[in-house]
Parts: sequence; C-alpha cells; structure tokens
Amino acid sequence: MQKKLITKSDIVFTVVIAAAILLVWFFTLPHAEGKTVVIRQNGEIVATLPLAEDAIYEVDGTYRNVFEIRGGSVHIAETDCPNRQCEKTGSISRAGEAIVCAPNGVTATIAGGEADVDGITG
Amino acid sequence: MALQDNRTSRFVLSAVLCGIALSLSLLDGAVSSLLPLPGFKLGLANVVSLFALCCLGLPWALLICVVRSLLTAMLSGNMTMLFFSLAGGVVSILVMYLALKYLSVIKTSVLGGISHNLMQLAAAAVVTATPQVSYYFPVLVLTGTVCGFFVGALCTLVFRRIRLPFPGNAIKTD
Amino acid sequence: MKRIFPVLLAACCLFAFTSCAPALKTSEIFAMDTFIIQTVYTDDDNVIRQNNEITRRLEDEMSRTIATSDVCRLNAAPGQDVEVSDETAKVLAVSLDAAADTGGAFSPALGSVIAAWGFGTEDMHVPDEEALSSALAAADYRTVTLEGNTVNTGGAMIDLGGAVKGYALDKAAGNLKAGGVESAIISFGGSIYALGKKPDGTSYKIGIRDPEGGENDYMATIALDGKFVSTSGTYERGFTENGVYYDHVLDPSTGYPVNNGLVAATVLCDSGILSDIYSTALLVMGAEKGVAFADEHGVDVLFLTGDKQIITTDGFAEKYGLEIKNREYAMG
Repeated sequence: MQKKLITKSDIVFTVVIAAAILLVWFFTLPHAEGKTVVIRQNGEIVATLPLAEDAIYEVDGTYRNVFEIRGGSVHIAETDCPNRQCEKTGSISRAGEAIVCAPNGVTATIAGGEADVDGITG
Repeated sequence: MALQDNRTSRFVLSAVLCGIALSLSLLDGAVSSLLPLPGFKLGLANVVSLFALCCLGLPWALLICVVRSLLTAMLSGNMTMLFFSLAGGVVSILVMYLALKYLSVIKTSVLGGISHNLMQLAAAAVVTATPQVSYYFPVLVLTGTVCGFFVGALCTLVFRRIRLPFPGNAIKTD
Repeated sequence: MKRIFPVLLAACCLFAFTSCAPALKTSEIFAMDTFIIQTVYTDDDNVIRQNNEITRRLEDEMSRTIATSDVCRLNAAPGQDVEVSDETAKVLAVSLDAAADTGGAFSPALGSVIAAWGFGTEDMHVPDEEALSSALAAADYRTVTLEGNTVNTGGAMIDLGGAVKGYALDKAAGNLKAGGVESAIISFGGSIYALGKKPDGTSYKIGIRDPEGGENDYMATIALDGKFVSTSGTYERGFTENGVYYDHVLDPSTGYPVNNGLVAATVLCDSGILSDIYSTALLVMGAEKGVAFADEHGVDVLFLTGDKQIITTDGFAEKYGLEIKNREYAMG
C-alpha cells in the first residue's frame, strides 16, 4: 500500500517547529525590542535608560529636571524650570514621543519599537 | 523515457528548472504584493530549489537559485530585491541540503521555507538599517511554515508521480 | 560549471553591495528657541553637522535675543542704514513681499507689539491700551526699506521669528539634496520637511498636533512627500491673565492675539519659508479668506476651529492621505 502523502509526523514536526520559533521570539522580544528613553542635554545624549526598569534620573543644567520611569512610561517628577511645560507634557511611553524642557535644553525621547508618526507639526 | 546522466542533460534540466523558478518567482512577486509587507516574498520558487536539490545536488540547486534571482531582479528592475531573494534562496538551500540527510521532504521544506523568510528579514534589517522590521517576524515565520509545508507536499507528490531523473543523486523521498 | 560560479557570484555581490541603503543617523539640538531634529539616511555624517551649523548660523544672524545679530543691530539703530548678511536680507525680502502679498496678515515688523506683550520673555502680560497703540503705530512693515544688503527699518522693530525656521529648513533641505541624501525627515520646531520615502517604501507620516492634547498628541496624520509643512497654533507660548487666555499669534492690524474662531493652521507647500510665513498669515486671515488665499497661491491649508471642525483647501484629504485619529474632529 502506498504511504500517505503527508504523514502525521510531518504535521507534528511543522507545528512544533513553528510554535518553537515563535515562542523563542516571544520570550526574547522584550530584550531585543525593549524600548528605551534617550535623554539629551543640549543635543548630547546624557543617558539611555530601559523603560522596563523603574528608575529616577536627574539632569542638572541651568535648571534641574528629574525624570521618573515607572511602569513602562516616563514623566517629569520634579523641575524648577520657569514655565514647567515639560511637567505638563505628562507621561510618555510610545516610540517617538518626547518630553521637552526648552529652558534647560533637555529632551527625553522614546526610542525603539515602531513609531506611529515620523514627526508632529504644531 | 530515462534521461542519460551527463552534463548536457543536467544543463538542460537546470535550464528548464530555471525557467520554472523564474515564472514562480514573478508569480510570487505578484501574490506577495497583495501582502501588507513591502518587499517580502512567499518563496514559491523554493519548490524548484527543493526539486533541484533532490535530483541534481547542491551545486546545481545553488546555480539555479542564483540565476533565477538575477533574472527576477533584472526583469522587475528592483536590485534591492536581488539582495533579499539571494539571501533567502541561498540560505534556505543550504538549510534544506543539511535537513534532507535526516528528514522527510515535507519537514525539510518547512525548514527551508522558514529559513528563507527569516533570511529575507535579516537582509531587510541590514538594507534598511532599521531593526524595527523584526515586527514582521511572526508573520514571516507563519507564512514560511505554511508555504514550506505545501511546497514539500507538492514535491513529495511530484516525486511519487514521475520517475526521478538521475536516480544516482536522488535522496530518499519517502 | 566551475567557471560560471565565480562570475555569477561576483556579479551578485556587485549588485548586492550597490543596493545597500545608507545608515540611519539622527541628531537633536536646541537652536532657534526650539528643537532641531534630523533623521537622515546617509553614510556622510557631515550633512547633519552642516545642517546644525546652518541653523546655528541663521540663529546668530536673525535672533531677537542675541545682541550681535543683524536683527538686534537693526532694532538698535532705528531710522539708520544698516548692513546685514545676504541671508538676513533674503529672509527680510521674502518676509516683506509676503507681508504685502497677505495684506499685512503677516508682518516682519511686529517687534514692538511682541515686546509690548512680553512674548518670548518670562514677563508676559496684557499691555495697557496706550502702550499697545504706540507699539502698533511703530509696527508698519511699509516703513522698512531694503536695498541690496542695506536695511533701514524706518523705526519699526524687526522680528523674523515667523520666517527664519522655515528659511533654515529650506537651507537644510538644499544641503541634504546636495549631499546626495535620498531619504530624510527634518523637523525644526514643528516645521517639517520630508525628503523622499522611508526605506520601506512608505511616505513619511506627519501628525497634526491636537490643540487640546499634549505635545505628543495629534488629531490627524498626513503623508508628506518632498513638501514642507508648518503649523501655527494659538495653543502655543501663550499665557493666561485674569482668567483670559492670550495666545502668541498676533493680528498685525489690531495688535491683539487672533480671535477668529481658528485654533491652528497647517500649511503645505514647496517652500519652507513660505509654509512658515503662510501658516501664521492664514491663521490671522481666518478660514474663508485663508482658503481663498491658499487656492490663489497654489498652497494647501488645513484649519482647525475652536469647535473641532476641520476646514481645508479642496482635495486636501485625498492629496495628503489625511487620516483623522481623534474622532471628535469632523470635516467642516
């Protein structure tokens, strides 16, 4: 009798391989594609921090900005800059989003992952 | 009709396979353009690679793949695609060459399909210098698996129905 | 067989290498009182560095706060002939033409009125009637004369803040093209230029700021292919006094912030300086006049009104693939 075209082992093998690769990808994903927040002062990068870890980061310049990373998003916890615009921006977490403290020349931008837009006009 | 096993008949067969691979490649391009993934291909031409690997051996399979990639790139006028399809094609042939020694045609083909797509992804990451393309990873693994499975089944069917040319080269196909 | 292989492989390598795309490079600096953000696909770091130098140079020439700038020297010598750089002369010339062209809806001579309100300083306040009317009387762009590089302000105070970022964008865009760059997006404080398409073949996508949201919120997106886009909004750089919000977009005819129901104007055209100037001018003009002006001048505009209506030039949505993200906004 002729053997079946597709054997059970073929199907099992296919499913297992595909599932295995996807699982490996899934579990390595946060490390490979983990978002980071890039903090710049006067254009120079002063810190690159992973969003996955809660942290406090302080930038001293003309003024003082305290960034807080909590639960995967970043916000200004404390600032003594005059207009406090950076504080009003609130929390950012999506790629491409930014907190800007113009008086202090400091920015925090989320990097990694797919940005929804390439720029914002306004 | 049995083919005589000499260089000429091998050249003729690989030329025919090249032609088939080329048309499959172009068809693939047309089908793949419906997918929301720019620049990626399903890898239908892998059916030819697998067939060539089984009955002509590794060097011929590679040759067919290279010629097919060049021709597709020239016909479609897209040189970036060449890099993609070469990377995918060559690596999947090497993977299938190793896999054929231990596994059935279908299993081999699945591995070939997946490696074909992942190599394209790696090539895309290099070419566009954006690691973000890994966003496509799961989709490409799935299409590679499904495609590889059917390509393998098709190949098994072909091997059942026709007498293999140059049986000396043939690898167990059951 | 043995001979074919090396040849084919060599040919492949050749093709493969020539098709390698340039690497992604980014830069972010603070200049012109805003952030200059560049995302450029290039293997040449110089292009980005040159663009940063261009913005710094133009800031040094045209800033209202740098004492040695052409603009400050002009304002310090009312009624006298002052030599300025080629670039300052160019920006002033375009600004004066645009002022005449827009019927004064845009003016490069509003310095005294801006100073009366204190915009750009830490002391923003509503000026008293008398101070404002004397400031307004001195703010007539028609008193400014320009001959070659010689400027006489005729007593007006020059402020090129509404044009210099756009001009810098023009210069930087020219520099990118001269450097052989095929794909880049550069954003000078919300005025944006996109060159070519992204490496994955899609167009650069721009969010239009949501006036009621934060700096990262946008109410709609558009595709930007080789054009310049600039937005003026009443939500920026304003202040509140006695419960009333005063925005920084001043109507040159009254000296007061615009109050015509519009909150933002986004202008797309083929020139950076004109997109910058027109976004202000059209916001001042109001929706009806603004759309007519845009049609006449072959530019496109999108207005947002205070009651969340979107008003655009004909065919805007199709031309730029407008996608409304905040459903509270509707085409008016």
